[in-house]
Amino acid sequence: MKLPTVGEAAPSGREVRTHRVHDHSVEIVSDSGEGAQKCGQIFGSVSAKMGNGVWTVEIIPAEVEPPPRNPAGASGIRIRLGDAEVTNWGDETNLVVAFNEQALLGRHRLNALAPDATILVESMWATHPDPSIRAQWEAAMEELADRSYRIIEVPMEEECLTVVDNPRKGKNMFVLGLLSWIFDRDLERAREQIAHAFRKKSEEIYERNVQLLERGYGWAEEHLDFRVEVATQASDLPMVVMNGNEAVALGAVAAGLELAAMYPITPATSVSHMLGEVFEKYGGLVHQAEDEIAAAGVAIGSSYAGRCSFTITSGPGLALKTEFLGLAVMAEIPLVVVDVQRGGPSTGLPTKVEQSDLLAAMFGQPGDAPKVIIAPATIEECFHVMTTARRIAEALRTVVFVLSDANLATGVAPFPRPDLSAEWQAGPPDQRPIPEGLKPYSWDSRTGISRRFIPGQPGGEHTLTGLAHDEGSKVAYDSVINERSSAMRSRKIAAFQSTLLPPEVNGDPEGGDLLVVGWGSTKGAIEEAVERARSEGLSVSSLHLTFISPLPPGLKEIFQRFGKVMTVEINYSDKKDDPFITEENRRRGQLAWLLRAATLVDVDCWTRVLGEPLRPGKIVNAIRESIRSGGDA
Amino acid sequence: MIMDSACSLLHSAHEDEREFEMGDYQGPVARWCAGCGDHSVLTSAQRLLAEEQLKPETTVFVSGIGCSSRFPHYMKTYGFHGIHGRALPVATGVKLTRPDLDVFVVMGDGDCVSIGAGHWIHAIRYNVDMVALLLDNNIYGLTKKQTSPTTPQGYRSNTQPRGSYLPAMNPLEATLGVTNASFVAQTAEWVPAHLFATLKAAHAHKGFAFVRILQRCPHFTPDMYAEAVKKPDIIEILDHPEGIRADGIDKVYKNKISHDPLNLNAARELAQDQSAIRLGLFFRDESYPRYEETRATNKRTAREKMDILNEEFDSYAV
Amino acid sequence: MPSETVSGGRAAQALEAMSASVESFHSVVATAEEELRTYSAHRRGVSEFRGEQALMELGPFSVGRIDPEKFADLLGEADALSPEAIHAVERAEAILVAFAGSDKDLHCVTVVRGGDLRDAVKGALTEVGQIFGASRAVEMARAGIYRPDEHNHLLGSLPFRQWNRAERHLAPPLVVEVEADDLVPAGLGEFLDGEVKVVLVVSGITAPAPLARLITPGTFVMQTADPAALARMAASPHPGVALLFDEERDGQARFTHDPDQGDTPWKRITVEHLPEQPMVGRGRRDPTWLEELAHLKTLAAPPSVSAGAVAGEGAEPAAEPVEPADRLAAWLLSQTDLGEG
Repeated sequence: MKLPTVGEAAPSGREVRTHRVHDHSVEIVSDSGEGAQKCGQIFGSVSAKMGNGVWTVEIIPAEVEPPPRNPAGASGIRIRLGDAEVTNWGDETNLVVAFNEQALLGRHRLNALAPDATILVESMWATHPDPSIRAQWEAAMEELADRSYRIIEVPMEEECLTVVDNPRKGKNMFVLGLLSWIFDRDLERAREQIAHAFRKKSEEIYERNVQLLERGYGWAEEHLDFRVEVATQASDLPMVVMNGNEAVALGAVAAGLELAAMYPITPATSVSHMLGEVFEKYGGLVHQAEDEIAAAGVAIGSSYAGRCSFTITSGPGLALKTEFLGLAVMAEIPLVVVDVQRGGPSTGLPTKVEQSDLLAAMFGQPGDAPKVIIAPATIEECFHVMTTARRIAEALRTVVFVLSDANLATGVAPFPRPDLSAEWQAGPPDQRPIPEGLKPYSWDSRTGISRRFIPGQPGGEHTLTGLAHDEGSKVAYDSVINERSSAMRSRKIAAFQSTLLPPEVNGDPEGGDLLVVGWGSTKGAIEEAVERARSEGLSVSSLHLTFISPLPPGLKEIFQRFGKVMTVEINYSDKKDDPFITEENRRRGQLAWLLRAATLVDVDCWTRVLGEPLRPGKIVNAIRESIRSGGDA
Repeated sequence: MIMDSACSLLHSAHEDEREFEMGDYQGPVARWCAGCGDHSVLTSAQRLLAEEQLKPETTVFVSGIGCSSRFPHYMKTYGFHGIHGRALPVATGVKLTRPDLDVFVVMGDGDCVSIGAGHWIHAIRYNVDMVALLLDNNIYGLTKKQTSPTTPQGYRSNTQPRGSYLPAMNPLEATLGVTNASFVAQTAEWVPAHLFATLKAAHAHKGFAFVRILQRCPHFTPDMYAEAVKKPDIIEILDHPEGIRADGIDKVYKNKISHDPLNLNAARELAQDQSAIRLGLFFRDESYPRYEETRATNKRTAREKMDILNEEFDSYAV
Repeated sequence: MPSETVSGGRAAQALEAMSASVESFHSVVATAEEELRTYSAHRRGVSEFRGEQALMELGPFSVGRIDPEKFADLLGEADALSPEAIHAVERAEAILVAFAGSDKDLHCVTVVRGGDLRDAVKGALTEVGQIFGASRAVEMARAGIYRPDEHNHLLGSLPFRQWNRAERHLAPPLVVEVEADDLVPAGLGEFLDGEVKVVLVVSGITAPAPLARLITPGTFVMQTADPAALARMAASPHPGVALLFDEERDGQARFTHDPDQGDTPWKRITVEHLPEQPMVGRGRRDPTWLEELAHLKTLAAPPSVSAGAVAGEGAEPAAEPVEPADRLAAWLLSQTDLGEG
């Protein structure tokens, strides 16, 4: 069955309908290397500048250049626009622009598209000289006909050929033109943004891209019969727009970190790409080490020498750094570890989001290795968390984990431009002479905190060691010493916990049927889901944790105000009705493990590892289900 | 000016006119076995520090794990006794952050040549200015006699009781094979004058100075160098005006071969050839790029950084 | 006086040639001053507004999550200073701020006619010493080892003799304007340490080689009429002294002694111009004139070929390392040559 399409010529007497919505998701999908992501980024930036809430997230295949026209190789980007702040990637896509029908099919099979989505698809494949491609097209259209999509064929290649010789390098800007007309974007802003995106390229390339943009805009104006209006509201607040990895990188600069040691790993690497470009301007250094272990070692050596340095990694790299992290804990060397989580275990899903490293961060090092773990929830927090992490690491002489994830790493959203302060930065290495009697681990028995010694300080000479040691850093040959030093390292964390404030409940602080607890990048999706569920009349609230080690105070008391507590996470857990699963053997979400242990509350969990950010709609379903099943956790 | 990033005017205050003697660098009594070669290296290092008048507070000894890695504990300087095989990355981090510090790395053969081999190869490449000492006793001592990569083939150990299965690895050959190797020497702990002269040359070298120190383990490999100690004529001294010349060893070590330390090919051949135990400077070239110089950046004050960051934000402004 | 404006122009040129070290010194002082100001602001913040200070340092992410007062309490008063120490830090800060902020020229000195060159240099260095003294006082105060009775002198001026090794390496260059009649450089020897650099901008006819006496293996010594040539001294990691003539005269030697150019005096010395004979007769001038010139000639002359032949090292003795005894023989021979000449 062929769906109604808009033909090549404008239907006479065509009426253009404008859909006014609060919220709209657009996807641009293509083969790898066709520039769909650049198109989406520019579109997102233009929209943000015009005053829409925006969240963009990249759709990345695992291979650099997977075979073309392959459903599994779909590469692209989703842009969710809203008339208010957008905090997550939403549910399904309302409008799809596909450079070929196979990439489109890939998204369809992942249930990424709304049942009534509008699809603009490159038409050249339908009439391609290769009969097998034509057959693929026919089969795809058949499969897509299951849903009530509205499919519009667009002669992208043909149109682009009027401007460029190689349309593969130009379709994305043509598509930007299409979207600009549909969403009534300011073309001048689009041109500015193109100029910024291609600032390293020639004037000629800029000109050509602008021509393509205008061509796409003109084509849409002439042929399409619908537009979408998402109300914009210009804000007085100066805003910036970037992804979470860029925010981490700039946050590191703001925090006064000067050495980043890393080894390439997805999805963490782009932090170091970003730093590689800008860090030297700030007197910083990105050291690409020979391996993940060395990256941790160089950062630790640098911290030991008087700075606080950081290392950036993802799951497999974190596994390799384990021994060094244990050393940093043992020897009380300040260190910031940014872990951009991806699917695991092992190589897992390198480009996809998961929140599966929490327990590894917490308990990964053999022996008792207390430390601080912070999970920023938004892109803005990815920036600011670095200052706080650095400060805590130095003040407590401890390892501080910053757990980001692939969703934050590749998500792009605007946030208020930070009001920078030089106070965020650490001073130069302390080179004061050490007063007599002060030892390298002169622990304050109450807090476990001791003053850090740095090479160069006369009178502070000692050998730091990963062996159990006493206050003087002397190797412990006495059984009591290890007990005491272990207690001191643990006490620092407890002392720090005493400075944490109880988290706020989103919804009804007084209590209710269900409390959803989340951490990290899922905050936006969870809070949107809770808001929808509450508007349905469900008695649900949520609570989001940013400090996970140590946990903030008051959790048990808050939990007790709710009939049921359930974590929502992107990591694996057994479902209650899976074969063999019992109350006792059920393996739960990672935060759920910790909360149950810390509060003795029967915390349930709802987790998914679909390799994509959580969709608010799915969370709403889980909330409904959880409340319906009542105490039957 | 000797000024650098980490050492500001405020911190030049304790740069004073102290004079140091060997005793000023001595930590607690070393707990190595009697007769262990580590003692000799420790003494030589303390002598070097006194001769060069290195300040204890700006000298850092970094080590891994093993008998020899206890070394920093017996020095009265700053020390970093880290984890097995990973001394070099730590030392690299120290030197990148604080070029004003004198950095020495002490590794055993298991540390450097086995578990830390990847770091060793790359540290040679980085050519960061530090002295790296491989205290090679051809065996794992601390864990009680297991085969190491430099254990001679056929030598019995607790892990390879019928004798080491593989030919021993030659650390000099490996080091000389790495692009950017800038200083490669070998010495022996039982020839203190040569050991000292070698440490001195290594410290004077601008770049990564790799020194393999042949060393006896009286406990597990007492026979390893017994012959070499008794018969100095099986030792060949590399001799050259630009090389390492030790005072007063000529009477005992008469077997000399002239070798120009700028000749890399000759150095490789000498390292490969197993017909004699050779002590001396195999290779030195200070013209190779040093990583800490290649990567040096202009340090910024907090305020300058914030100003640049503000400009950076302009390109992300909405 | 016209000569003054000419000399003033040359002083400026000399300073220009030394500008890299001038700027480097100023940036060192500016960095120290900012570091100290930041520290003081932090210290005052911690003592007067603990919570606010902690909040600022923890950054916006901590808002609503960390109680800054409690966080500050955790860290305690470990770094609290005694009143004497606070006083010392404040005075030191005032000194550094004054130096960093003033346009005062630390680098230029003029010896008044009939004045003492050594005293002028000493005075200038003593003034610079205030910066070092203040820096030391701050470090001691921060370390909790400042004793007013013992250390208050640091907050005055610090004579060169009391500078430590690092300070001698940090020393800023000095450009000294001096009349030929007052040019008595021998007394400058005591300041030629670390990386101290002194440029003597002289007006009038001087002796042929007044700086020859200051040549020691590790000191950069230069006589020149070209201000641009001074840049080479500025770049040297050794102490240095240079004489900048107001014009090229036959009777004034122009040469450079650069410690990095070799291990023998004749390799280190490059002679651009050497007067054949002093233009004056004996009795009219001080005999030191002749002595200095002879000294320079001696140092600059390589051993003769015959000396090399004695050592058995072939035709080009200077290119090969020579045994000390041979070197001495060569030197003695060269003395003889000179005597014969």
